[in-house]
Amino acid sequence: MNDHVDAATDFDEFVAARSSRLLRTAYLLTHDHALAEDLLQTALTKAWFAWSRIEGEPEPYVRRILVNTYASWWRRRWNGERSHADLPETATQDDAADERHDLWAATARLPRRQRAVIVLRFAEDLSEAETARVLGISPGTVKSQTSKALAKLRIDPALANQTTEDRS
Amino acid sequence: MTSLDELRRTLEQHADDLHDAERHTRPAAVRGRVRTARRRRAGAVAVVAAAVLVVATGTTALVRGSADPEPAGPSLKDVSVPQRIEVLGTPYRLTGTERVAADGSIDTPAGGDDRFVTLVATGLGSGEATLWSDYWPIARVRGDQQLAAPAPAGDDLRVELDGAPRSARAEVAIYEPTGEPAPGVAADGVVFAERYDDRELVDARFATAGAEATVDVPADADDLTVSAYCHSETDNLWLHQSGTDGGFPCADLATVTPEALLRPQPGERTLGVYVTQGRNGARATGVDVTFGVALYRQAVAPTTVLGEDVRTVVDFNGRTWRLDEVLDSGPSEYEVDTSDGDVYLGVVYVRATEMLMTSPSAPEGGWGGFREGDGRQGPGTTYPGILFAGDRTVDLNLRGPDADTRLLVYRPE
Repeated sequence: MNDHVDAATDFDEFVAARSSRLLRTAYLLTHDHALAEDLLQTALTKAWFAWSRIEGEPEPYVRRILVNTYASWWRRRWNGERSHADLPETATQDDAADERHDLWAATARLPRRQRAVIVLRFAEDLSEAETARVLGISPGTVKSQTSKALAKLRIDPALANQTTEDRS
Repeated sequence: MTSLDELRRTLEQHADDLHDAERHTRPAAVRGRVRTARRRRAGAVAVVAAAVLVVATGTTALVRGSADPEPAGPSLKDVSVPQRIEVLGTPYRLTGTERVAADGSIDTPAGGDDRFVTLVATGLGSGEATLWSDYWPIARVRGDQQLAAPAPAGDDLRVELDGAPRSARAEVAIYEPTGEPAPGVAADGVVFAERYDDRELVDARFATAGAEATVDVPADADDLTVSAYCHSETDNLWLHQSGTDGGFPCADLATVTPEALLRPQPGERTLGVYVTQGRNGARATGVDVTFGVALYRQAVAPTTVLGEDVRTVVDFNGRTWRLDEVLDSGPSEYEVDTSDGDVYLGVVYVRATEMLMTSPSAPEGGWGGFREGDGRQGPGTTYPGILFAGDRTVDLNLRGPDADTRLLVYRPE
């Protein structure tokens, strides 16, 4: 029982002290505060059931759950949904042009897995190998997903001058 | 300042703008979710735990049986499990089974990302067994049905029994690709399949390094989609379309999907692709590269709903689904007939600012949300997934002036 109490206290302290950083990651993935909070709480709930088995710092473990939950569950939530760019009826030409120039909006149009790679590589500053470990994929897949994501962003005028060298 | 710096700055700026007002209430909120999850798991544990020993016997039979010749497959007592299945034309073979642990979880062995699983359950009485992956149900067996349709093997698999007696048994059969390609045009294990969603293959070609892969463009086709594939271990190879500027890094084209990255040139009766070393380099020769191009055409006309063209035939979770009904109940509760089995759902929406869908087949009772900005969304289509047999109600809570929606009901072909 004492172990259980200690674990619960430890978990609560972790959530209070460290979850703000995780919320940032969730927000960069979802682009929506409410969805980010939901995603974070989902990941923390999953982490609770494995809390006693976590060795070392729990934050990377929870981040891994969070990103993979996003890349699987959240991807399937909106599977097949059409992007803003496919909905010309709802935007004026000026609106569409503004959106194309908005790099933030452009990242929202990326497929979930690619957005996760972009966030981990360029917001969390993880290496290809670290990103691969978080997502449970090979470094080669991280490389190709990064390449694909940047290729899509390159179509956006905000990254129109992207060079081949930038992609490495 | 490089564009990658802009990307980093954009991400950092948006993250910095986030105000975490729920930091101190979050532990309590998470505890609440933990309690809910525990209650749900506890309900499953009582039944599944009683089934473990019986399942173990069945597992042995299944594994031993997997070496048997076709067509008779192994059996979980009286359940015949296929040795081979076909998923959208791709053959899979049975590689083993996994029993359900006491907490309902299934510990699948390491394997490829493209595995499929079939839920096997017996002794359910009038109850049902549902296979979950993460927070999503992916397959269900009801009553004396015994076998569910194959589903992609996702993460965190577990089985929950509902309304089943203690003698109920459940496990999953695991299938791996045989390596045989689906019908279509193939090279080096890559295939341009004969069909993809509502599209059919018109022509496809692969070529070797230094050569050009060329397909014939029908004169009467105005609904063509081009699929290009390129993969190599050699860095910085680019695929180009003949007669056009620019190109694509091969790393961007390492999956076969009919994406409209390329398109036939007006008046041209052929479409060719070739590979260069570097974006503007010479044709790549002497390298190991697999590349090709395919043309697809619309085989089934789309259906217009609320002014939006939606797919009449779609592939999802390894099954092909055809649009059967378009339900109109406004932003409210829909009754869906699942008496003949699972259905695949789509939602068409117009002028919406927010949408929440709840159904028994949705994770934690519902999903929804909205993308950035407050502008009205739509017309648009989203495909929330499968509504399993036995789950009949779907509630669409739609917000926005003049918002409207239709529920698309697809049934397996």
